[in-house]
Amino acid sequence: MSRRLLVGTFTTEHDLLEAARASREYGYPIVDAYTPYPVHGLDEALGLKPSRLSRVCLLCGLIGVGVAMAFQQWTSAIDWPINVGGRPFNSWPAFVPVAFEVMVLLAGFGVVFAFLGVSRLYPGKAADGPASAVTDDEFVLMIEARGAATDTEAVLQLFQSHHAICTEEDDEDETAPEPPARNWRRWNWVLGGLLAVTVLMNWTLGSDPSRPNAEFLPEMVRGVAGESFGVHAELPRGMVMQTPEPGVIARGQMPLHYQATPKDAERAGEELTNPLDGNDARWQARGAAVYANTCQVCHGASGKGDGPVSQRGIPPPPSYLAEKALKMKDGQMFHVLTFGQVNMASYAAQVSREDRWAVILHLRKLQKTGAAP
Amino acid sequence: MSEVCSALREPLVLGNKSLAQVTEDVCAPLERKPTALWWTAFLVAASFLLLGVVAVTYQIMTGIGVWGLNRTVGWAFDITNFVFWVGIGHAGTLISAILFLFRQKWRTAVNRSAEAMTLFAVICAGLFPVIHMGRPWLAFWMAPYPNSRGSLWVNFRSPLIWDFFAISTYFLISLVFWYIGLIPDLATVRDRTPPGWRKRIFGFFALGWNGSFRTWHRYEMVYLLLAGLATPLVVSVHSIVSTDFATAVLPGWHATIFPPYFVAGAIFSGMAMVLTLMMIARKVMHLEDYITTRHIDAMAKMVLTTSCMVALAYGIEFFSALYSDNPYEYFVFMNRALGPLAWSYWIMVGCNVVIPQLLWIKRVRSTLPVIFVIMVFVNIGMWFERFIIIVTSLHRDFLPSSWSSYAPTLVEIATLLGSFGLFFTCFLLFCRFLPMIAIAEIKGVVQTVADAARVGAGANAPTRAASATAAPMDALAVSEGGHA
Amino acid sequence: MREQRLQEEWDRTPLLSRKCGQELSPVLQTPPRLHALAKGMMALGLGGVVAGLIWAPETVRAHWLLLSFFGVSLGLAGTLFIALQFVTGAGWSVALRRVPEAMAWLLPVAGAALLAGLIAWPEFYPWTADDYYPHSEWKRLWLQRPFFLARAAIYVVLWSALALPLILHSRRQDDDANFSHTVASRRWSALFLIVFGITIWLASYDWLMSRDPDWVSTVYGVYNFAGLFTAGLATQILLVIWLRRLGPFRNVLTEKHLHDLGKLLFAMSTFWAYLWYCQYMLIWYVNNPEETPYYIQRLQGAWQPLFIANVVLNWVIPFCVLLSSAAKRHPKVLVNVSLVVLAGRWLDLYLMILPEENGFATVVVAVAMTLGALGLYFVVFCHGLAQAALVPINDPYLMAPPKRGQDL
Repeated sequence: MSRRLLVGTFTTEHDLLEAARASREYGYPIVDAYTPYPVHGLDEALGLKPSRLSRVCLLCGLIGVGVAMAFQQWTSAIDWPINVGGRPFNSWPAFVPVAFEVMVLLAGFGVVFAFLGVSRLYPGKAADGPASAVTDDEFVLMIEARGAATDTEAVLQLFQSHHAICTEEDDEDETAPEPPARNWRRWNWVLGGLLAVTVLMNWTLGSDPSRPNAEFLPEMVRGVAGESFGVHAELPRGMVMQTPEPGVIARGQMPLHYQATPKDAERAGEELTNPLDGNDARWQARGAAVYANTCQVCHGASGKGDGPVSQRGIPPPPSYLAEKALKMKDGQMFHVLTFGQVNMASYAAQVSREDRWAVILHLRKLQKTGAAP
Repeated sequence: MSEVCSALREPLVLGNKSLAQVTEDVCAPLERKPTALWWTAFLVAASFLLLGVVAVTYQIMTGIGVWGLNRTVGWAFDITNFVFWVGIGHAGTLISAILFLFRQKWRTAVNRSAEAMTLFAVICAGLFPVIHMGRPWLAFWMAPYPNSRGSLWVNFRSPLIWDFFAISTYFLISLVFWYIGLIPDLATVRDRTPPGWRKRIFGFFALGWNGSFRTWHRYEMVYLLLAGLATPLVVSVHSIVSTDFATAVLPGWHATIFPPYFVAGAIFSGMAMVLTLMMIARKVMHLEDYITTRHIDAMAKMVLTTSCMVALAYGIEFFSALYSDNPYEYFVFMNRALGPLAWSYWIMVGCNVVIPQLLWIKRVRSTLPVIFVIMVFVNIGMWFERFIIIVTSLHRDFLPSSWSSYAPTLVEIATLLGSFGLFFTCFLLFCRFLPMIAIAEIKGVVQTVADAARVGAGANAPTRAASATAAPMDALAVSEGGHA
Repeated sequence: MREQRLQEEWDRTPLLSRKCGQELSPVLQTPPRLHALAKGMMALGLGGVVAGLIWAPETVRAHWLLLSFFGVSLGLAGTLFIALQFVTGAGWSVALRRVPEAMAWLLPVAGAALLAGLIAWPEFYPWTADDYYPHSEWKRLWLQRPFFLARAAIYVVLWSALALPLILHSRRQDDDANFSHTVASRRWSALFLIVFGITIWLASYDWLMSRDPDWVSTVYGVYNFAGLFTAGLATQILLVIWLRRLGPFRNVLTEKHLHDLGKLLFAMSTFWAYLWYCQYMLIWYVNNPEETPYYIQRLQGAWQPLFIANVVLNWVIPFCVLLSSAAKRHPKVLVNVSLVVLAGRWLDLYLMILPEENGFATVVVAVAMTLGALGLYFVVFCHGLAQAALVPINDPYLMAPPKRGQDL
């Protein structure tokens, strides 16, 4: 189906505007106008309503902000929450900037693509305007001649009365021209072929799920040094982390040849002496500090076994002022601290050897002050 | 609408141009061979660019150790340059988008090149965060994509990730905005070019534009929407860049005023760069009728305004440091003014606060060479401002035992020069191959000879009394004006 | 010189007759009922103050400061609006310029009230207490009553003194139509902008931020500026629409004016939200114990819904409602949004001042005092508007609507 077009070319926007207004008044169907720049008032003259692209923009923006906020929430609070400086996992004030940027990005691109789509603009499209001088300095008005309903002469007369420099009658063929369709079909073959090749390669070459996929720049993923818990045949027992040989001791740690038995506790009392000087204020202070941190909870500040833990249901330890404790030697106390006794566990891991001797100094002081009236 | 003519409003385009003349004036430089001047400038810029490429290649292959950074001063030239270039880019969006929303028609002569300048500045800016990484080839880890590391996500709470999103959004939206504006102009060039490969390239990118008004109608809406989006975008981008510093605990960095202060500073330096480029371009490409002294005057006034805002921000920061009763804050500002880097502080104050005040004087604003020199000083001053903020706060912070000094290495200086080379190379290529003025927009504001004749012949330019008695209310009402 | 050329062109065109001027722009005649209502509200306010001094003294102090600062900021917003329009050479708002000029009358009135409050009630600020002793000598010097009061007086006097030439030149131009008034106004506007820029943040530091003398936020001044300008725009919108309903502006105010004012309101409210977010997010993020108490106090208990309502009233509602172009032109929508913004501004100041008293008496006193202040400001505004013609009839920008090829 083709239609007959009446085309008038003008040299100023004013003439075009007046001609368009007059045409609308007379009810001539205006196909379009062509201008080198957007002429104000022409949208009213053509009867165009405000574009609805603003709604597309708003919609895309809302989607953008929603998706961005939701994604940040999910990654930071649900999927893999990481404590960064104590900030709450769901830190909405910190999520606002990214959400805002994504909103703008989506809104902008959405509205631009919508515009290009609706206006049928795409790369490589051939220009199909009435005249190439439109982009320079000419203004064109295009009216459709609908059979006998439109008085062709009157329309051309209207154009002339508004100082048209040129008027034409054109037949416009409305069927789509062949070449673009042929181009699309060619592209379809190419892309379809590529898809087929990809599928074929995937099927034949396949992938071994037991081995890692292609990696980009693995760098330090596979180290040169042996992995700590891996198997290395060249090493004894295949282990990187070897156990120490029998008889090996840590530096500075002379071994204690005692068992965790009462008999050995007594033997320790006979054999070990406190290497620290009881009159040294530093060691006394140290002992007091360690006692307050470690022992006071059960034994109490005065050593009577009335610490807060003992008052809450744990069996209270015997008092230091009891006969047995007063008679106990330093070395046996050291054994008790190292190996534990009855309800008391070993404190060897928490309290260093020196600190244990210092605590014993403090215990003696408590016994002295407690015994005195 | 009444057409009272008054000398209060000067014409935007001089010389009584016709529309065809406008096309000719803007497109002619693209069609003739580039001048010797262009080649000289291009070769100089390209050699700076080459210097930068060599420096950056060396630095990526060898490591960040070739820079002068140390444990105390972890950021110096790299981030200074980054913030500097992002700031320069902001004036372009201001002119394109914000002035559009304020219906300032004079922007039409400068907005195309200003937007191009924004794009090139953002490209220069975006290089620095990438090269300042230890392993730039892993820069894609900044993007939150599902991965095989447990799906380790980026830290969305970090301003550095906000930067990544902000700069890439800013680049993409500026590109789109610039391109949408270019489409009608590309069509104009396409229609002027004789058939050949040039016509095909312009035709490809012109998307088949034919001047249809239905398309123009939607185009105007899209342009308005993009301008409305770009305005908060540009404010948000430099605010996010400022939060790189403001979210830290360092005195001199943590100040709630940083976002608006940085935005004002960005407009300040960007406008100075626009003026620098425009003043050269209008002379070289004979566009004095389009980029008139009025445009330069308006932009110089904007530079003056933002200079005052920046000066105010300096004052507020210093005063607040005193008022806060915090000795560390107080020390930072004293150190800036009197410490080992005081020379750079006083360069900054002189170039940003003192020298632009000359623009109050009308004589100065009308003397173009003086404006040019002032703008160069402004750019120097704004570079130093970023340097001061970063380095003085870092090199002497809470613990005196960590205090250190900083000196740039040749590699860093070469990288900075290279970024200027990249910027100017891109801009020169833009001037050579694309229309530097927004042809369609300026045709919309040019008052042609035909229009003037029509106005003169039609309505008798009424006197105030006549218009008052004849149509009193019309005279009081404001007539239709701009796009929005 | 260009000015001389313009002056010559101006002299050649005949003057508008005074009779014509009277026809075009009568002087305002406030409807007597409204006047009576305003006077009644003032009386109510006075009663509220008296009652409050007995039963809720801290509330009286807080609201006195709040409402007088509110008045000063409306006056400043009016003057600022005029100054910006002169400096940018804008012509769209010239027909409405008498409205912000009348708003500037609030500067001396509310300023005097503010000074009176500052002088009468030193206990309003914690740093007046004897045991307040900051480490730095500088801060001790700055936060001293005599210096503080002197500064406050200087601010108010400076503002009033710089608003005055703008108003006077505008009125004289009605009579002699001399272009030099526009030139002079431009210069005074530039000076006002510079002085305003420096004094507004100092004033907000002094009057509002020193309520907690250990807390500093560098963006506080800019934040207050955004708030006051938004409130000023909302007030202007209300007033121009009221004047149109009343009659005089029926043929003066067009849809375009409303659209522009609506756009400005939309933009400034978003700018306010941006600054609010800057301050909140940066303090939240750094989590510095020197700064966080400010927000922690305002998020406790009953303050929390008010804190959220602050953002909703000042930004969320204006943004969502004014997003569409049609809404920005619709008088009813603009009136509603402006009322919301003004309520939001009141709430913003209330949250900044953070009075501690509560109880039924405080609510009564607050409502009474607010109504009283509104009544007073309305009376002052009408008085200011009645001093001259409603439209600056001989303004050159008014008589030179732009044609194609020129700026607005």
